[in-house]
Amino acid sequence: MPHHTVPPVIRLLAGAARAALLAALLAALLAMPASLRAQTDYYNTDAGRPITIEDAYPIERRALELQVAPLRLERIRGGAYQWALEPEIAIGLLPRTQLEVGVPLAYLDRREGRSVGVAGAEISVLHNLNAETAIPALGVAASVLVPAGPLGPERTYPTLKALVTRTFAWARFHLNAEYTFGDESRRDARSERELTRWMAGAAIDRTFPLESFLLTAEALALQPLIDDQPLAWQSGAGIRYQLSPRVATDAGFGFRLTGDDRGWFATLGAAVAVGLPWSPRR
Amino acid sequence: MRPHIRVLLGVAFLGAARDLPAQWSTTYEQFYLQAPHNWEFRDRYIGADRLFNAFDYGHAILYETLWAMPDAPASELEDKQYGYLTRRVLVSPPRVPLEEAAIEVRYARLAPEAKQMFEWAHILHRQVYDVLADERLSQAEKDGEIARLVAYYRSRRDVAFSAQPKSMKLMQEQPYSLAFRQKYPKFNGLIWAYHWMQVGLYEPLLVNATSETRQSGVRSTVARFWQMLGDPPRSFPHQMPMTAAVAPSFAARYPEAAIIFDNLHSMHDVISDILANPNVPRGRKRAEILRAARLFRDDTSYVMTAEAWRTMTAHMGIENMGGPAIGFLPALPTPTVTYGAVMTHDDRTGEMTGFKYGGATAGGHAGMHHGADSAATPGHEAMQHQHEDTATHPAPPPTADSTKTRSDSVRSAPKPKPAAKTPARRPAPKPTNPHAGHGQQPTTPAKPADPHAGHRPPR
Repeated sequence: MPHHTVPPVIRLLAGAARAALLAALLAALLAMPASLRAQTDYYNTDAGRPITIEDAYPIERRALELQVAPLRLERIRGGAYQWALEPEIAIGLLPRTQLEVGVPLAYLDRREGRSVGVAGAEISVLHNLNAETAIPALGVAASVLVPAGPLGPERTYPTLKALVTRTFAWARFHLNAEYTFGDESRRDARSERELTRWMAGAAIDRTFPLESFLLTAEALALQPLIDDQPLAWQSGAGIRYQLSPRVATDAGFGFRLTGDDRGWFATLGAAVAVGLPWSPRR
Repeated sequence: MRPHIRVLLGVAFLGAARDLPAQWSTTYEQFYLQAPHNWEFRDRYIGADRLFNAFDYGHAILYETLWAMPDAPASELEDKQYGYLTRRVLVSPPRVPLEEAAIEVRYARLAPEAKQMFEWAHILHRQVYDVLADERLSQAEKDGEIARLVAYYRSRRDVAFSAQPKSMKLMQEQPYSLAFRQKYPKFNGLIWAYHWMQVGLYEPLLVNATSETRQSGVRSTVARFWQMLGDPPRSFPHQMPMTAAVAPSFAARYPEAAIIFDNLHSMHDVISDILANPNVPRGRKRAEILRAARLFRDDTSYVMTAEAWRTMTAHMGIENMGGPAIGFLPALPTPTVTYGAVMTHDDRTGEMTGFKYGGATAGGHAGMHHGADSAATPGHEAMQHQHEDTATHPAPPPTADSTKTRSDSVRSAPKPKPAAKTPARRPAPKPTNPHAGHGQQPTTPAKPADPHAGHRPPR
């Protein structure tokens, strides 16, 4: 729907939706109650929080992590904006293994019109192969993006990912590489939801342990799902900060340097971790 | 590619492949037991809780320094890190529990399994504080919760310390033993002071009946910890603080937890010795650490009965461990053994049989030679020496450096006598109640209301 044809009431609703997203984020950040319980986890980086590249470790076994209000704002070429709220829940179900479910909500504001809705549902499993010794920490992940909501994909896209983490006294390095299977549908090719054939990238982070925060930066290459689209290079940086023993916050920004969707993005979020409420089997 | 390069690459690959199994670690972290009392201690005893965060830093930087800077002079830990810890980290402790892997980066890579054992036991430590600090729970409910915590802890067999008491032989009569306390007496004493407070703080939480008395009791114990930093290492514990001595009520009520904590603190010393001892080649450190970790986990190696453990603890002497955690006199107790002395015990009964290193101060030893000489050369000869009977190799006279740190009474002590030619000497008689004989009057508590009470820099 062209922008100029959008009825005022729809524009009003869209603006309200955007404001609601912001309000939800601020409320979540400001109202983190002291009673929420979680463990120090600023060190355990997670994809998208704040950068794309993550470490090779899952959350702790028997941990339940809620990413309550992770907000992402993207501005792409042509002045189009995309707001996304990406709530996720991760569970440390098994030793060295986490199950994560995310349901991103997106708000697209582009020349063709505005739209709000669920942008698919993503289910992923990350398994750490080993703790770092002389051998770097290695991890593997598998995920599926399934059709859900008006902004979701038309078909299911499975993805495999490999993760490596190597720690030095002065910094930690992470390498990620992933490949997505399946042919793109025509609608998915137009989608603003990131769908890439493959992605490869590296990140570095520097921890300040007494202050419980880390700075991180990344560079990655993304090949869009549509074969004839050019390779995109992206860079980003951010911070993760342990607000309390229970809550970790993050913020970041980045640039898509090449490709058809050149622009910038910013993220802001918080994660709360609790333990599984049931006792372990003896 | 030239043939010889291919051969070299092949050899290198095979060498690396051979080491892979030894380096492949599948240890993992686990979340603490979810319960309503989570973080209760942090909420109610902010100052003490933050000190524990600082303690975590001390443990981590110790291992990192020992492993990553093997050729550093003793002053790296004894002056630089000790000064930073006592003047900066302990005074302004971190507000949240630390990520130790970010501090002990290289050590964590060396032995992630041992690191995980410490972290898992530290979680138990903290959760027990939470239970005892929770004013909503009755004593019976606290007992039940602590039993649940111990069961949860022990459900991780791969990282849980044994709940069987271990002989001190495992800690201080191994080929690598004593290297750390010899070369770094001040830092070693600081670690013992940490351990004194970590187990000692259970006592005021347990024996006091009201929230107010628990608060003042905790403040007193924290203040006592600071007092220990007054004249290091003389004012530090001279022996590893044992839970049954420092926190007797806690140990009597929760013996499993107390034994686990003693084993935990023993292994802290063992890792320090393995890392500090140059006679353990760097290529063997990981294997030695994993061996020690296995011995601390199993229920069969170096075990003694709970009764023998209590007897051994009593014979080691609470006055040598920093004194009781509550009901103490204003002055620190006078140790009856030299700093870091190694007593031998009958593993069956726990009774002391003699000294393997150091000795009694009363008419005996003038102190461990922790001066520059011994600190700089804990080499093979020194290690051999420490495993021989000190009776035939009396320690050299204290150096100028070492005498500076000792009290007049210790300095004027007579020359050492050969222990082997004298009957096994026990420290001064220990009361059954460790609080008796050390003043039943509690010290004046630190100023109330200030959650940071006791956070004052050492002299």
